[in-house]
Amino acid sequence: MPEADATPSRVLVIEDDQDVARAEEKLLAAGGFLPKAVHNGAEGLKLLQSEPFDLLILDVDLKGEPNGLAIAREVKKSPHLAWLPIMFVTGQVSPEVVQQVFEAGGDEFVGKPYRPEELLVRARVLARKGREERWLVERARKLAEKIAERDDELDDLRRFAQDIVSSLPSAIMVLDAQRQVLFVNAPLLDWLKSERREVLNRKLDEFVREGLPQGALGEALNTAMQSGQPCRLRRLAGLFRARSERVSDLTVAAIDYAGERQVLVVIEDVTDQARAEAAVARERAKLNDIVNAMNAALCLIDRGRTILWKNRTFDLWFGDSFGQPGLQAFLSKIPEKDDWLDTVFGAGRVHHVTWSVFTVHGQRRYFANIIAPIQADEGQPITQALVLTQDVTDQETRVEQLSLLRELSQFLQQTLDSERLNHVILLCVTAGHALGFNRAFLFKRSRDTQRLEAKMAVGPTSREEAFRIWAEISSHGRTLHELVQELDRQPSRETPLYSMVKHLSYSMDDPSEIVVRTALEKKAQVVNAPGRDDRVTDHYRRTFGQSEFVAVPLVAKGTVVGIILADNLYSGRAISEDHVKVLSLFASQAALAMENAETYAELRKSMSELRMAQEKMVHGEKLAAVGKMAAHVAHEIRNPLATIGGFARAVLKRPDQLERVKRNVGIIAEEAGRLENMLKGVMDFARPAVPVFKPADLNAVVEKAFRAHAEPLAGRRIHAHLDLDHSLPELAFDESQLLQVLHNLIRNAGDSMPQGGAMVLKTSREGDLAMVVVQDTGCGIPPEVRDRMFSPFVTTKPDGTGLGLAVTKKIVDDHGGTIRCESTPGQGTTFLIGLPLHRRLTEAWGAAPLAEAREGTSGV
Amino acid sequence: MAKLLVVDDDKNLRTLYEQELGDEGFSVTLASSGPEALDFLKSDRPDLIILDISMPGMDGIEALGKILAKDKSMPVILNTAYSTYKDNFMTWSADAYVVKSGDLTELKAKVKEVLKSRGIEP
Repeated sequence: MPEADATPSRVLVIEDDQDVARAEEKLLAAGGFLPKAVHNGAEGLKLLQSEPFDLLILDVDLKGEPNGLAIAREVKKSPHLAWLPIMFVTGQVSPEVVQQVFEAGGDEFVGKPYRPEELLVRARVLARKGREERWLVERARKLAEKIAERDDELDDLRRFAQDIVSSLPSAIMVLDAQRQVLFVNAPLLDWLKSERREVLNRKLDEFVREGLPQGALGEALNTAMQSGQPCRLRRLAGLFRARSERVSDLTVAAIDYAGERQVLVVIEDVTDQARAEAAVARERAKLNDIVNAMNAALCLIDRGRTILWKNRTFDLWFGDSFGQPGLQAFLSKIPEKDDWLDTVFGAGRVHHVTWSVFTVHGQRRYFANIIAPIQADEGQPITQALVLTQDVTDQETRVEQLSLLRELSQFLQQTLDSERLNHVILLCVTAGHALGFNRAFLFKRSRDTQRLEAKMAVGPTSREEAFRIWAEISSHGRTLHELVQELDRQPSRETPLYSMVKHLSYSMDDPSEIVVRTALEKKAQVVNAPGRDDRVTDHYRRTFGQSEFVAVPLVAKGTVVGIILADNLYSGRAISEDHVKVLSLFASQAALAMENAETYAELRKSMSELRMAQEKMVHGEKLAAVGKMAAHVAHEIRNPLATIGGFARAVLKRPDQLERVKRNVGIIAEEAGRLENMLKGVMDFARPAVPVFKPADLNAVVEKAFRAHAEPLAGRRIHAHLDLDHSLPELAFDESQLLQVLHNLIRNAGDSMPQGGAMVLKTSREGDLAMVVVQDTGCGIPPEVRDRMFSPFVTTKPDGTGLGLAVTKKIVDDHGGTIRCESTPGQGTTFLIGLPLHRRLTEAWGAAPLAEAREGTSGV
Repeated sequence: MAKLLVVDDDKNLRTLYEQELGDEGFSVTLASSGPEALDFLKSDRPDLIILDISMPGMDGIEALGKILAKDKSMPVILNTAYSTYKDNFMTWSADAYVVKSGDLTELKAKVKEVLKSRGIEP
């Protein structure tokens, strides 16, 4: 009671005599109390109900009802106030009154007159007691209130739990350790179609399906019971005997209640879900069957090209493990660094691509692919893509077959070399898709010996080689066109396969060999199993093996020129009727081409005969040319002859005029010299010497020519100098002829500079040629002359023979060299002569002079 | 004294003509090419021109055309080593065609004949 001394005790005084009341009030206040006085009983009782007091002081007799005794009885009767101490203060001090007072419930009696100290002491004792009582009553009341509140909460909780349990769709039951049913909820009863009393206190085993208590259900119950661990049983078919068609999910959990372990079993009817799931599974299986059975490969890849899933067709085509070449080939076609990744994963667009690879079975097939992005959720980045791969080989094959036949005629028309032609024909049979045989052999009928002889073979010689080549072709994808071009670049050489069969030769009289029979019957032969086919000899089996093959005749203009033999030894691919048809079509083209090549060879032979005849003719032509030249020379010498004759006559006429005679005879001598000079040129040209090649120093010869001219040139104010490349090796040439060339060029250069100038003689090296250059700063050659300046009798000089450059060109040509001229009128002329550094000494010079002579006269 | 113009690219032949025709009493002027002859004609008029055909650059036939274009009445004798030019119809417009020879008798006779036909005293 912490407030005991802190606050004054409250005292209610009920006294009808106001003076007395006031006196007592005054006394109590002075004694440390907090008094309150009222003057009638009703008022007092009312006040007691509304305000807390520690002590009640009553007068026995009060004016009006109730009197003091009645008040006391009333107070003691009241459960809230029974504890309140009551002190009677009265003037009627008689034993009866005292008895009545205590009977009425009074706690103290003080008679009037009293001593104030006595009243105060008694009041203090009573008030303390009252105060204690009041506190206790107050607490009890509060506790009672709280307890009442809890009871309400518990009620709520209970109601709530009941609501939950009854509203749960799940069926619930509680079992004890003996699996006796302690509780079931309404849904469970509904499910069992039973009354509660039919179920309660019965053993679970009695109404569940047989076998379950020993099986999964029993185990779950035991586990929960022993370990307290909850267990779940999914998709339990036919839990209750009564409802065996239902499927349920069970949750078994231990609950500990009042020290006893019980098991709560929650049962969910999932029959409908189970049915739906089964239906979905069936649909999925069906879809899976379709996906697997469809003639297209499907796979799911991620950005890193990892294959997450693939269907059976995919496995069939590309293999199911990464070690297999098929799968590697597939992946190599969707390369890591490629646009498709951006298209599919970046832009989320579908990517189409067609390519051809070798499948696990070594067949080259064409595949059209659709790579489609798969978006898991809207706005999420694409992480997977579906690759749908369709085999379009048949379409592509047809396209290729058509283009093969078209291209073929082009290839074959371009190829007239017989050996190369054979190779190209077999390339067509083996490469690409149109035919795509593993191996092909070509036998040609010899016209002389009437035998079929192996002429060419194309294909791998072993299985390993075959796979290597396929892998190579898969990754490089060379077209037939490229293969043929490659063949063009390479020097022809024997294929390893051909080396193995080149000795083969069959007599056309031996029809037991299938090769011969094909030629004789002029009909394609397909042998599916050479091992047990009468048409095939042991010799064939030993040579070519036992795989299925086809032999087609090569027929040109009704005649068999050979046969083609082809098989699929390594891939084992069946030879279809289609292939035989295309091969036969192809063979007729090839045969024509072979015939062409043959004709070409004949043509070449007759051409060489023609050439011989032509050379004879050229010889005759040369004679004609010489005659023409003689006529020209005849005209050309007329001027000097006329001059000589004229002056000679003049001298005869006037022999006495010595001065004139001297001058005239001088002119005659000059003109005679001119004639001689001309004659020399004509002789040089008309009777050309065959060059005699000897290794010599070109620089030395150039220098010699330079020395011969240097002085006279200097006299004509022409500055000449040498610029020699001393690194030039010795080379073979005719020294005297080359000197003549140099004299001609140096003289021409000098003549082009009547006012003086500069001249350079230079040697240098230009690739395989030793160059000799004669350069001047003269008047240049007029453009109209330049075209024909190497022709004989073309000159710009009044006294020129027009033979210098013609002879020069002829000598250079005879040396197998080149001559060209660069000239700018008014600025100068440069002649460049190239002589081969390495002369082939075996060069046939026999025919050369004839040909050159013809060329030399052609400009006339 | 009739004035003759000799056009020939051969120097010695020109000398011969100058000497021999001079002996005959003609006044001889020499030109070594067609253009040189045409140049001369700008300032002078000879009584007859002896024209070589085969010359480098402008040949005699071209020169003949240019000479006649200027003066249709100019007497011209073509004098060449080639008799084949007689077939060229252009040469027909010349007064005479004489093949070159050491014997100048024919040329001298033709010169006189042509001059006479034009009424010029040799």
